[in-house]
Amino acid sequence: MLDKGLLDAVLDRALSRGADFAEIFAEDSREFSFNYVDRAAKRMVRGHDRGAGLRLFYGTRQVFAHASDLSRESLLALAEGAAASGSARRLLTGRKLGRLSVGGAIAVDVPPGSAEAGEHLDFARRADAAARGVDPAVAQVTVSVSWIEKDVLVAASDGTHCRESRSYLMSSVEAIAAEGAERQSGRKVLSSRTGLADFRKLSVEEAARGAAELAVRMARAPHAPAGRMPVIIGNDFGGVIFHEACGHSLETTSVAKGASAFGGKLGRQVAAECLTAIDDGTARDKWGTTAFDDEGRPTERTVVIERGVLKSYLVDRLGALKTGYKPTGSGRRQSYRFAPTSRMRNTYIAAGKDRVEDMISSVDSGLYARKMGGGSVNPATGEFNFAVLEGYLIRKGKLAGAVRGASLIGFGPEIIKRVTMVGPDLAMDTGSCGSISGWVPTTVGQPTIKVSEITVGGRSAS
Amino acid sequence: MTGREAARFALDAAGRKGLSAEAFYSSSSEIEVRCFRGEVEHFERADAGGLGLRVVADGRAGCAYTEDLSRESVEETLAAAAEIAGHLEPQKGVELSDWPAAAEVPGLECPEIAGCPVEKKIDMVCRMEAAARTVGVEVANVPWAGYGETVVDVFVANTAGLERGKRLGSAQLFVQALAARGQEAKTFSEHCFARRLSELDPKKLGRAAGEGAVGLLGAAEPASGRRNVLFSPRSFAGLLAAFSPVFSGRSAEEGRSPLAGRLGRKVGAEGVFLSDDATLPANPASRPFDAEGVPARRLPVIEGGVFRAFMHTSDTARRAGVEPTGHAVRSYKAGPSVAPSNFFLPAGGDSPGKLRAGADIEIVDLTGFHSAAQPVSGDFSLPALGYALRNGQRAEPLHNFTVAGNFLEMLGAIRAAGSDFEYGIPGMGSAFGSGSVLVGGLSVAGKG
Repeated sequence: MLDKGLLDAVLDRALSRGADFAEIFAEDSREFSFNYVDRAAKRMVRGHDRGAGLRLFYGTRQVFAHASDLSRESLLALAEGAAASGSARRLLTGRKLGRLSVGGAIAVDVPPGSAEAGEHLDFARRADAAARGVDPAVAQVTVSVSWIEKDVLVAASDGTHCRESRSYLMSSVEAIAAEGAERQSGRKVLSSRTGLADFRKLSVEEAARGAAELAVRMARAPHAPAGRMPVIIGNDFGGVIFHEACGHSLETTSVAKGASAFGGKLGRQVAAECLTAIDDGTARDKWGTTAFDDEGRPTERTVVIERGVLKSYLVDRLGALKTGYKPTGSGRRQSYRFAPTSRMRNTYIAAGKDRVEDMISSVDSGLYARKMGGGSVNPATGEFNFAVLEGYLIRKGKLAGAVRGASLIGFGPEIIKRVTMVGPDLAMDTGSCGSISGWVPTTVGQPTIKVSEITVGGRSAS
Repeated sequence: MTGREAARFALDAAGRKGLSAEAFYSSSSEIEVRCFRGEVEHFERADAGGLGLRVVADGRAGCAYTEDLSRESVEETLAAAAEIAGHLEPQKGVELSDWPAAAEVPGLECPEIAGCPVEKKIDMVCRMEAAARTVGVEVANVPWAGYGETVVDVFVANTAGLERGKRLGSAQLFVQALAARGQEAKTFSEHCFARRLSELDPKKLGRAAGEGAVGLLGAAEPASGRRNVLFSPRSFAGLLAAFSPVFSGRSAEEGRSPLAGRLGRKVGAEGVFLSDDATLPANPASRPFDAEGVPARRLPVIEGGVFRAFMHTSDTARRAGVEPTGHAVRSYKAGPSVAPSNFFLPAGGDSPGKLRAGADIEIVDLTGFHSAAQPVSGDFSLPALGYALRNGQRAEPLHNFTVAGNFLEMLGAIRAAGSDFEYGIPGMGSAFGSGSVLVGGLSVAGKG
């Protein structure tokens, strides 16, 4: 993408006013998205993104600049502009860019970009037919397919010099069911990091039926009850609870500012003993896996909580500088337009031994949140929330009817102490996480867990 | 090539090939400064842009974009857009037009902002942070205090003869204060969007954030049940933003809006008016024309509780058989979609103090919109922070509860709007505003 001579020149220019560290992140990406709505191929976009982000440290002060023009003149001007905010106190000398190391965390069978548009169209038609075949109440189906093929390069004044190609292919099927005046939607996602050949093995019909069945079930379901109750949270995307309730507060972005609900608690018992949680940038073929993070550091598997004890934060380069904690390869960014910061990768609660049947039979009156939607958190206070996409009442130890519209809220540090049972059925699901360095691909995961008490936001009295 | 040169080059190339095409170029220059404990911790400067091309053939619009403005790349992008058009289904109304010229909307360019030295902007952030800290010892921290400015240049042209350009400048301050007492922590954020630097009041903003956070300390959980709720302007603006897709002509034709088929019907309480107006001078989402070059206008959406109009792009308007409303928004990375400009519930006559007399709970912070608000159904169940109200006065602060309902049902239950109008944080070309709003009988889930 950019040769060593140019990188050297840009870094030299960037360091010319006394910065302690300089880093360039360059990117060249091809993107595609396609929407099939109302039984028709309506929108399709293909694009080419490219640009560079340049970052300098003066002590712990960060200067960041980016531009979409990758020409030599533009990059040197970028470096000049970024450096201009510094002053020539002392100059870094003896800097040497290392040999280019090429990352290959995930092998791609067939690049997503090699698919003909007709293949996506056929895929969408199959999904549409399968979803509409579920029930006459299915009133609308939207299918989307998108991919991104991304080449990133990181070169920094500490010798870092690496490059990686990353491929992401995703499809989603959304069905809307109408039952009288009620309209509810259901959604399923299929994804692949390993390319088209693997993606073709996934059953779009099964995903489409799943989305449609969920929409129909929720359109016919009454409102969820409101109030505090025991909640059993299903596996795979249920892991969003850990991601929101705890994960974000472990990022040094918050910790370094004294704005984390888990600040200063390393080595302390912060969660129930049955809870072990891991953030793993190396997990095989997962959405949040990379060879290098977006600061050029090899990613790693980080045990953040072990049997309830806080073991590590998620640490990026600047976070390490500010806190003194060892970096964990967690510096991530959406694109060259964002300065990196500490972020989660593939985050999950480790499997336990409690049977799901035993969890349900242990609840007199509560909620089984089978499928979770997205959520958000305030890392400083630990206040989190997330939506329940598929919920069922539990009455006297047995599953009762489906309920819709529930959300779960609470305080992260309290909730992770209230996890009382952890199942063996660990599963992961693809997600996307938004924060100050943009949206990054992540995975969330967990086995089925029981939380002894949580506030359910619903509309009917429990 | 510059952005305009690249756009014209693309249209010339399209013309030579007999293609009908539109070029949309946008670029932004940004500065962001964040301070922490009186020192700059992050300084950011950016210049980036890209060219989006649409090739329209027989009711099909293929889109492609590039950030590489070389001739080869622009030609490749044009070819990609033309090829893509061939894969799509024809739709009625997809065509390019030379729209009438737009009237100027004053106060949008704001050259004064970029002309002001950076040191003055840094000083504003430091003063804002200090103002938050000086509220009291309980303000433990000010995790975020920052200034941002953006100059956006947009150029849209097509082979039907349209050529329009505009420049939009703006500046913002944002601050989050963290208050702590024992184990309890609460944050409160404030922001201000301005078209003139003199409209930014860092001291006032910092103080408001600090006081907001301290005020929430000692919070209790409300009992679950039906309550009359007073939304702060910002929390109600959040609801308007989350549910604005129900007013989209595209959502309606695609069966995603609960308002489909309800034009001319009563959907809100008698006194409810909702409007969209891109022509208001210097407002946060004002613009002379939309992303297709359609002139901006004022659009009454709900009048006296009666649903009057959907917002449209040119093609959804043609299919619906109405005049275009000028609501196409886009980045160069995607084709046009429907979104509001300045979308608001106008200020009412009562002060928030007077409205408190009719409410049980006042909500000052509402979150979770992206996951727990469903525009397809109108349902929401959102976490909130606020105050219990007794005898029209704020009593204890409240936390760890949700407020739930249905957006359309809520429009029918609006009892009054306050005089304290303000806009929420603008984004993606839209801004949402209202005063405090009193709504009867919403579900509150707390303890019990």
